[in-house]
This record gives sequence, structure tokens and C-alpha cells, in this order.
Amino acid sequence: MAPNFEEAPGSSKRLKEEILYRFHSKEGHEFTMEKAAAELSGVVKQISQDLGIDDDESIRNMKPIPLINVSSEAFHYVVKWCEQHKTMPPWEQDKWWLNERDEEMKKWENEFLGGLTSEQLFDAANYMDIKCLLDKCAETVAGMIKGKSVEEIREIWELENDFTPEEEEAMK
Amino acid sequence: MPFDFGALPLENQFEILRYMDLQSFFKTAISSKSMLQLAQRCPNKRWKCDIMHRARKGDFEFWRHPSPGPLPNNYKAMQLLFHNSTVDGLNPDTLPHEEINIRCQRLWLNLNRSEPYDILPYLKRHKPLFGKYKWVSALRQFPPSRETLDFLNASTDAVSATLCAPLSAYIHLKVTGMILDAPMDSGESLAANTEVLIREWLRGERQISPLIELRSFDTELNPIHPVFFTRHPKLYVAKGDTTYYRVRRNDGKVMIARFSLSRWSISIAPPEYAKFWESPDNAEFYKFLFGAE
Repeated sequence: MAPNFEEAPGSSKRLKEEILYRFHSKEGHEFTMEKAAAELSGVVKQISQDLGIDDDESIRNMKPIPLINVSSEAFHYVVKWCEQHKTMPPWEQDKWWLNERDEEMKKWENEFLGGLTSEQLFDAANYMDIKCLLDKCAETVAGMIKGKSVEEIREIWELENDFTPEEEEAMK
Repeated sequence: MPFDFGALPLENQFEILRYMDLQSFFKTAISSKSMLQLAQRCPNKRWKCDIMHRARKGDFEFWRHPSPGPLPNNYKAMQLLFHNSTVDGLNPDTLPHEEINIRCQRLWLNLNRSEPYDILPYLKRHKPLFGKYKWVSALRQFPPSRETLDFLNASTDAVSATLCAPLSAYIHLKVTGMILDAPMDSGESLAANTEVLIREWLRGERQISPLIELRSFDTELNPIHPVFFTRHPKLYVAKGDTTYYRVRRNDGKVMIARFSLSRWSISIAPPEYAKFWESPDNAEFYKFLFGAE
């Protein structure tokens, strides 16, 4: 059977059929994100609720959501993350041990976050309230200091040793 | 690559601590004043449970083991982190092991008081010790001492009387015979099974009123007062997994009992306190709380 190019991602027909949220990044660039992916964000859900958006047509007619604290670069990665996680079960904030990912997903996440500056992504995840991404960012940042000395930790996390000599002595 | 940890919101900083192993946590805590304060304030108990677990296993060598950084041993690190008079002034080299154990046990219970569900994932990671993480088995293995119970009784909680379900499981087993009918593998099933008993009684399938002897952390409640479910309690169900009952203490005072399966807890408090629970803020609920029986 010949491939159906009309149904391919990015095709005009597909774009017309997909339910997409629109966003404006800090720099004013417009982005779109599929409904299921975008709704991983607590902010998107809250805004939709506040505006009484409860059907697909309303989403299509919605103005872009301004993300004044999220850079285009960070948002680009947020979209990738959300697209990858859109079919996962809802995130359990209190019972976090239930949020197990399979090996394939863990590998994807590690590769995805491996090359990023976590600060920007952390900020974006915070601003958009994406629990699963926040959680992974926390794990990644904690991993940065595993096996390091105290001095190295100070260097990596830009911490100043502000203990007085007396306070250091008291710890001994 | 450097990372500005201090620029993160406090909530994120706590989340990061949650992912640390104990050694990393110690090292982080002594890297700066702000990190030490953060470690002391961190609401997560995972690594604290880890420390207590060592004590419970009788791994006393752990205390003498050199801690990373300038701290001479892990016990000193614990004193620093917990910032708690329970462990202040003790020297693991000279203190009898039993004394350390008692103090750690106190601390362990104190930690679990506010977040009972926090310890379950920890136990799950230690299946070899706790089998299928059965609370009852665990609590039989490490039953609270008389001193611990006294400590619990003296503890206070300003608003409500949320109970540590696994601890109440132990107390139920010890005190309230009829709960023995129900298997109690976890705090979750404790809450569920207790509710089953109440429903059976309401339907007339049980003759004896369920009796719950709750160890309350609220000074308003005398922990030795059993709570009876009133014969025709008004029932209010909220959000699917939370059920409220009107109950009566044996001195006649009307109380509100809340079963929350998602929080794995049973709470009990007078109506004037119960109104502070995260409850539905509507007239029907207030009528339930304060209305005539």
C-alpha cells in the first residue's frame, strides 16, 4: 500500500485535524503543541478551565497562551518532552514511587536531558507546571553531584562556603 | 558545568534533595549555611528513614563510621541534620546501644507522624527485611516501646489528629480485637478494611459497634478514650475516596472521623478542628459538621 502523505505529521490535512494549543514564547515566537501533550502542563489545564474551554473547537479558536518566562529554546525542548510523554498515565505527585517509566523511556529521558542546560528547562517546567519534567530535572541535578567531594559540590552548584572557622570547628 | 542551585525555587531544591543518596546529602548539607538550613528544613524523610533503618537493624558501626567532609562520624552528621534535641549531646562511642536505639526510635516515629505515607516507598525498597512490606510484620518486629507510646501521647498537633496508619495498625492489633478480623497488609488496606467493618455494622450485619481506639496527637483528644461510631451516623462522602463519619467519644463528645484512602490515613477531631481539614467548603458539609445528630 502506498504511504498516505496526507496523513503524515506536519501535513496540512493533519494540521487541520489535530487539536493544537498555541503558545507565544518570551521572544514572541509562536509554537503549537498537541492537546494531549499540552495538557501535561498544569498551567494549560488551569487556563483552559478558567476560560471555560471544554471542547476541541474552543481550543482551535483560543488565542496563543503567552509564556512570558519561557524562552523559545526551552519551549522547543518542552514540546519534545511533552510529545514523548503524552500517553503516559497521569503523574502521581504524592505517590511518586508509582511513576515508574519503562527502560526505553528512561533511556530516552536520560539522553534528552543529558545535553541540556537544566536551569532553563527547570524554569520552563516550573512556569508551565509540568510535574513529570520537574521530577526528571530534579533527578538530573541531584545526579550532578553524586560521588563528588564537598569542594566539588560547591563548585558545581556555585555555593559559597560561608561557615565561619568556629562553625566548622563545632561540626568536628 | 556549573549550575546555580540557589536560583531555584525552594520547592525545587527540596525535590532535588529527595533524589540524593545519604552520602551526597551529608556532603551537600555541610557545603554552605544555606544548604545546611535547607537540609534541616527538608520535608522529605527518605534519607532520614535510611538513618533510622540503620539503627533499627542494629548497625551501630554506622554511627562511628567517618562521615564525608569535616564531620567526624555519621552520628554527628545526624545530630547536625536533624537539629533535634532527641539526639543532641549523645556520643555514640560512650552511649549504650540500647539508649541510641530508643532515641532513634522516637525520632523515627516523630518523623513519620506528619507524613505517614512517606515511609512506604522506603520500605518497598527494603523488601528483604520487611517481606512484602507488611506493616504489621514490620511493627511486630519493631514494636513501639512504652517510652515511645508515652512520647506519642505527649506529642501535639495544632489542627487535626491525623494518624500514622501503620502505627494505628499496631495499636488496633493490640487493643481492638474486632479489627483482627480484617487483614491489614498496609495502611491503605487498614483504612479500607476498617471502613468495611463500619459499613457492615451500619447494615446491621455486625452487632457490635466498631470501636476505634485512636492514638491521637491532638491535645484535645485523650488518647485513651475509645471512639464509638454512633448508631445512625450521618455520612458525608467527598471526592470519592474520602469519607466522613460522625462518631462519639466515650465521654459523650461528638467527633468527626475521616477515612482517606489516598492519604492512607484515618483522622479524628472535634468538628471545630475538622472544619480545618481540606474538606469541601460548602454548606452541606458544615451542616454535617455542626448539625444536630
